[in-house]
Amino acid sequence: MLLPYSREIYFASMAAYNAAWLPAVLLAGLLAIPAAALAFYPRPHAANGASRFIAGYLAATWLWIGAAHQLGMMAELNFMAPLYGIAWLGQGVLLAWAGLYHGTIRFGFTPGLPGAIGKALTLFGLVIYPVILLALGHDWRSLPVVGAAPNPTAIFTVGLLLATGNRPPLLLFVVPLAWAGVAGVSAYLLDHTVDYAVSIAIVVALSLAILGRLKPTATLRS
Amino acid sequence: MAGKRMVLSRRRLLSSAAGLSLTPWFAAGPAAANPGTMITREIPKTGERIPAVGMGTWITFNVGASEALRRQRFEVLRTFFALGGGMIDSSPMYGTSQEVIGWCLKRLDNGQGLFSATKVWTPYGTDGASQMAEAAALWGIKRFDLMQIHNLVDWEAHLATLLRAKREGLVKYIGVTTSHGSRHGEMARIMGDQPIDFVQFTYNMLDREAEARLLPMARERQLGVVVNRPFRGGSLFRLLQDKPLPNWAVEFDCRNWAQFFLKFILSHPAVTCAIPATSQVAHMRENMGALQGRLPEAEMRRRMVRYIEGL
Repeated sequence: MLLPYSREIYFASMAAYNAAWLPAVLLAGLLAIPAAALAFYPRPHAANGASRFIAGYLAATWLWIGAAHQLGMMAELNFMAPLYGIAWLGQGVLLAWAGLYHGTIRFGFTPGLPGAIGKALTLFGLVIYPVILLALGHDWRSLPVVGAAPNPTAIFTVGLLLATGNRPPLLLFVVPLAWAGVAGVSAYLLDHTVDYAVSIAIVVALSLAILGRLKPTATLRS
Repeated sequence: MAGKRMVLSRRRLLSSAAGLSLTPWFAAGPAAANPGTMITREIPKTGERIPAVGMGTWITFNVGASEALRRQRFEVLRTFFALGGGMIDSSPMYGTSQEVIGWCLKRLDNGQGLFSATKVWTPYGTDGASQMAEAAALWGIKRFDLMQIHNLVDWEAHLATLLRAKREGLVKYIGVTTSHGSRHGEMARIMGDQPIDFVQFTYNMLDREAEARLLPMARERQLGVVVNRPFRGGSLFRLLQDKPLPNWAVEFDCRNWAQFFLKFILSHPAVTCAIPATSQVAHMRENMGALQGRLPEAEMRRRMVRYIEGL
């Protein structure tokens, strides 16, 4: 598999994308903070509303990235981008269906390993990933922002899904898992080691989500 | 084998001089080629001669909308033409490369000396004509010198389209391409049976499978040969980054590794043009330096292979 663009071109295009869509990029990045906060500090009386807010935010970001990032920006550079864009749009629809329409996802960090890893991944996507890119010398204007760019958004999403109290549909991990493959191959072809973290994060999240389903759930006795 | 050196036409002399013209972005242009001693090759079907080093655009010219990067590629292209370049090869598969080429050509007064080469790349044979028209619009030219079927995708359908385009004067030559050593069997069958003018495949100092069949067959069938991946995607440089050029490279007027790799390729009698890709002016100068001076003879070619394989 070959990529028809270089790392230089990708980040130059990211800078142009961020500039062209600045209000949307800023809004997406800023709204990630209350989304994470509502998951970090759930309030039982507002759990339903908070979960729908988070689900709506995630759905909107996947739809946006599918349309503007993949079908918009990347489709000019990469002949595979339209396919990726459709996948991202599909994931946005799934998140909206599961989280908004059915309301079956209860976001909130639960005690234990999945909760801790989920929280860590959420923070990684939100803060640590862009900080690493800055430390690597990338221009701040080209930084992929959570909610507006695929890699940090994918990590952020699986982190939130992993840490939910109830078990979110594994179907919601399918597209992120496919993206893990894309990110890993891109990391190799573009020689951009930090992006292996995207693949690792998603695979770890899915593995823990599956393991969590294999454990028997505790039942109440009366 | 010594390269054929031809006194070039007035057109090429003028195009080299035109390459020295100043632009708003940089104060000084690149030094001009020496057209009188430049290595050119004859296109077998017509006898037309083209410079033996061209330019590929895979990745390097896919810079999207960035004005800064387009200006940088403009300088690469200006250097290319000033140093005697002719063939530019691209494809719809290469993202915005064709658009960027057109952007640069427009600012270069369409690059006198240009030998335009692109491809059709669609699994739907019915889309070939529209893809060719779109490419012409992107490049800002009326006719392509060479239209190729990229990676043999749906070649039977596209070949009919290309033959028709040739009859109508929309393209001058037609051909097929492959790369990475793949599908050589199918390529050979097409070379044997079909009325094409050019073939393009991978050939470099480490990937020499084409010597066994495709190169001799191209010569026998009087097909022009365009060589892609002359530097194996850059890995030949990575292999040798700490190694000095061998002293005996001076025997064929070689001053750097790019010329070492390119002169090996050009010294094969069946090769018409190699198309290295670069995004750097300095690398373009090195590449185009392979158009000057002597080429290695047979024994020297063997010595070069032994040297590289021994590393």
